[in-house]
Amino acid sequence: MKYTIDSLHQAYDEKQVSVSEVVSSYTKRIAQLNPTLNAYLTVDEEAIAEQVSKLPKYDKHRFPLWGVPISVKDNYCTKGMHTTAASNVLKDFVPQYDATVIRKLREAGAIILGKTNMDAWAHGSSTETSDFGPTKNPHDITRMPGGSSGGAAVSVAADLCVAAVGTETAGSIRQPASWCGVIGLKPTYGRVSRYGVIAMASSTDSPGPITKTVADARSILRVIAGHDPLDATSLPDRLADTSETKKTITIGWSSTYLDGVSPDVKHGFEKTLQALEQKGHHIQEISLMSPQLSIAVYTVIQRAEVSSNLARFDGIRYGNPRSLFGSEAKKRIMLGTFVLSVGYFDAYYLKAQKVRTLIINDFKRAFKTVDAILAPTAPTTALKLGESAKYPFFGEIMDVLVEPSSIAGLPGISFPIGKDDHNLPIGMQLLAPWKEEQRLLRLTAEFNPEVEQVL
Amino acid sequence: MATKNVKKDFSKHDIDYLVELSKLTVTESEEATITSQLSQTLEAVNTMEAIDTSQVEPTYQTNGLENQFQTADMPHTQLTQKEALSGAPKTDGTHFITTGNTFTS
Repeated sequence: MKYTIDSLHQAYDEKQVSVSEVVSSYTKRIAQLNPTLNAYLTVDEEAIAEQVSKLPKYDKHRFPLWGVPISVKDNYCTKGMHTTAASNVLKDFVPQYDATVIRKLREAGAIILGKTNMDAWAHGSSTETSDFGPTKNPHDITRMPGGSSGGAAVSVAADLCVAAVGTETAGSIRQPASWCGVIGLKPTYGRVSRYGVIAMASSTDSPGPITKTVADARSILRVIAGHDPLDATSLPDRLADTSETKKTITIGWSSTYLDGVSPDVKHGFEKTLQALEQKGHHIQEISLMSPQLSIAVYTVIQRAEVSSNLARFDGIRYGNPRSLFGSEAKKRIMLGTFVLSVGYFDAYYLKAQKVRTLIINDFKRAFKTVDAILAPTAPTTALKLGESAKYPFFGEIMDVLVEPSSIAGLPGISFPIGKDDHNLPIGMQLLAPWKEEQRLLRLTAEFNPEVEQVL
Repeated sequence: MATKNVKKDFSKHDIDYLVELSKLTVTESEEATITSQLSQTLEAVNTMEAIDTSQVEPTYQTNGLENQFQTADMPHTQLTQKEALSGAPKTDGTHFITTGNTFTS
């Protein structure tokens, strides 16, 4: 099977298959593999049938995602379909409205197959903190998929959908994409509306696509990007239709992003840098602040915003009582409450927002001399299940290389570049200046990254 | 000017207070783990103190948008009373029923 948006539309063009056939082959595959992988939390066959029956006449130009089966991370509100954020607090929650991203996907003709597993409330980088059990990495089911969009990345890697939408606050799209060998694009903060996405850290939350090809990431971004009056931080700028025409550009790299990176990943990085040079790009070493520094900044900002965002779950208007919060959410809420409290606000929250300015200035300075930055996405390839519980902030350690760009609101893309000695995918990331998603997509397309179908 | 207090670790008393402020519940064994893990987190977070930010303004929002107000043409969907109450565990048909505020200290 292994459809991409383009190959599926070609099959529709040539009338090789019907949308019902495609959808039912996916639901069958999910029924067969999901008990092992636990990528989906909800697959609503009735809702799928209804979407298929309501599709307009086939027109891939007017409806760029017509008949494309898509998986949705379970923190997007979907009208009439369970939305749990993988937490027992929202176990029985059924939203009364669609998130803007969901509305746009539906309007573009996409078929929402179901809702994918994640770290509860998107707190983590393992998908092990889900209240509904961990998701397994299809490359090796004894390993984690990464997270928090772990179910989304696995749904793409194991071909349980054509493409997925996830969300990233600091790493939650790029890191699982890297560990599962697929493509993950985190757009510029504000490029894609957060309306109807269960909020984690509102100042960095960024919805985005996880896909098998760069072309698919571009197609989905085109559909979901754009100004939304319902999100006050939504960018008014339109997404550029195509990238700039300059064929070769300057790509920077910083040795600070290689500290503590495993030898296999480091080797992959060097190979990628050479490949960029062979394609005619100019490579330039730059000096970026140590990403280690961002762990403290991100921890403070994220916990503070979490404590405020999760205060709304009172178990009165909807959802279950707060006593059902898992341990990870409790820790985050408590530390957030602390850093925002009288007497400590200046030393923690305000201080973190000031260091954030320094991180932004560091990138601004770098982007005066380079057009894009290459770095590994994660310090290691996929780790064994159970590892995440050993660290008080596992997520921050695994996301160290994506945190600075997330804190700064920059766009970034992770793509697979090969395998390590354990036959696990290695991911690299490219960063570009604010609003330059098209540059990232064009540059990544030069590699024509191959997403291998597993299982 | 506000004082810049840096905390070294959390005591059981601190954690009890944060639990109450956050309206959470923790078991005794959970509390011990949380106290030790949050103290470790605090240690990592305190590394920020070494960075000189005396000449730096904070950034709360990264894309520069300011004062975004609701406009007249903003899409507006209103939930019906039935829809608004549909997820509530306890209602009288027209209102949510709360358990009241139990903040004690």
